[in-house]
Amino acid sequence: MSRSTPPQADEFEVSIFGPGRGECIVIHLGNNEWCVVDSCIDRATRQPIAMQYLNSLASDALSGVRLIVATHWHDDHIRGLSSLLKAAPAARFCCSLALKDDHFLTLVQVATDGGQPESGVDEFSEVFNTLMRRKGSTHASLVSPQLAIQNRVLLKLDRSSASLSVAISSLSPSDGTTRKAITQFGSLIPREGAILGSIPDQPENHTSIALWLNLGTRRVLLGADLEHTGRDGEGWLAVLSSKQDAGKAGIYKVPHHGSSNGDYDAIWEELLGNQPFAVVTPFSSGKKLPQPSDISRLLTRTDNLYCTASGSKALPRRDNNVERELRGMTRRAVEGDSGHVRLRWTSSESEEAIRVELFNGAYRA
Amino acid sequence: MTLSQSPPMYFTGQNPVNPSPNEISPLALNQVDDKDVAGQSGLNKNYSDCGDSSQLSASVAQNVRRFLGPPPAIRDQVERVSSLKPNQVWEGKVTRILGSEFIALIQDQTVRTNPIEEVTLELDLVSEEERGLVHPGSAFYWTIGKEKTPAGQIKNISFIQFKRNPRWTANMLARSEKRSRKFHTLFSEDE
Repeated sequence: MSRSTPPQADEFEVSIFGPGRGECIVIHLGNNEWCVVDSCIDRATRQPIAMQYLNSLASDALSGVRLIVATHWHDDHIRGLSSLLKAAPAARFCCSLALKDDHFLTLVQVATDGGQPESGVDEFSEVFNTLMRRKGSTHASLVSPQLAIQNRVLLKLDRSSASLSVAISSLSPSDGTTRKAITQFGSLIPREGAILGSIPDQPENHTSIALWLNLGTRRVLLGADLEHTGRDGEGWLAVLSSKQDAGKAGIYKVPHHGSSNGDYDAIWEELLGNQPFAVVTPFSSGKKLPQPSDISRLLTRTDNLYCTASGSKALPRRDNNVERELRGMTRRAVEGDSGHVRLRWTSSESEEAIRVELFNGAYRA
Repeated sequence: MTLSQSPPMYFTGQNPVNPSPNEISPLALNQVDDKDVAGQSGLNKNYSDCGDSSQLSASVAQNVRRFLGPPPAIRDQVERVSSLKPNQVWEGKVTRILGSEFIALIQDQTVRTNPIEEVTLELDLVSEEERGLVHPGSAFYWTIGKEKTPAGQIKNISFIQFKRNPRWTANMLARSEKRSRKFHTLFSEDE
């Protein structure tokens, strides 16, 4: 099937994109209604990948976006989010409850005033400004961000048939991780005398929003970058201790790019069904993820493991003079074409009927 | 908010040769535009792709004008070269420092569709005067090109210039904190 063939009204879809640095998930909720989780940019066009994909499916797909979720504020998950939000006027914006904190809002303004691009918070500044501009011209629910915290229903679409109904809930962040994130925000605000433009990347993913989707009779678990810290009340332990749905998910976006710190036996035992479709988005900057050992570990969990992009991407060939200067240097491309793993199924079909399609270098591990 | 500072005096009035359209005059580097300065440190600002060298030169001149002032490395160049023809420019951001090296993400400013690269660079490539500017989060330009000396000799050149950002003052921080209060209304409407 062509990549630009839109889903049928009674078809669900989970599309996972990953260019090597960044990820984005586009979900068809049936009836041309959509949800987008996180955002990354197409290397060639510099446009949000979700926007390009939805436009390629149907001219009115963007107007059907109901919910846009920023799972956390790291740059590789939110680049292009504000452009997407502008193009989707019926979409509610959702972020972690922790981001309502005064310190985070100050950090966002500091990013604008101090010119701190690629720090993650600068994109939030444009998101918040986009929401401010909606004031007065749309319903208040489309202005105020929806705040995600453990076990909150973010979107519910009750339809005539249960097999077409949709519910999206946040499984995290927990109270504990929210408190921890708020403490961290305060420490990130520059002090007097600090140099403008120097907020370093933050390694922790305290506020990540893991999502539980009920799409008709199937369940989907999107793990964001949520980690297993081993501490009660945090990360996956907090999710498992407050689990509300007795069902198990058959589709899984593997958390934190397949890293071992996002993995935990009980996720597979208690939240996921047998041989789930699991999708990893690589992270090629710094310590490359997933490592070969991560792929081996994940393959012991499921045979249905997919990856949106290969870890090695070709470096561009440049002018001979430039190539001479670069000789011997350690460098690598951290983004390539955005690989795409697409899973589709019709609401009435059985578990085995999920169709997996791979585009732009995505592959089965 | 004006973040600019006056360019060094020695820069003014020096224009040893008239550069060709494909070259950058040292004087061109001096034309700091105050309006441009506040947003100067973006990895993903609006640069055009440069299909030919004249466009590339214009783009580089535009980039360099965004600097608050030329650092010593380029001052040295300016004093002794008549022109610089860049073949390749990246904008970079330091991610980590590892002993005598630093790791950075670099975005190609010459061909914008090229992928972001991660590169390990020797601290030796940075002039001693500028090493204090190297820290996680700091931004720089890296240029590879050819210089033409006053005697007509053409040499390959590779240099890194760190952005010289000013420091936060108490007033600036207070203003940002005050401005951030507008965002609070976003969260109060739905409660």
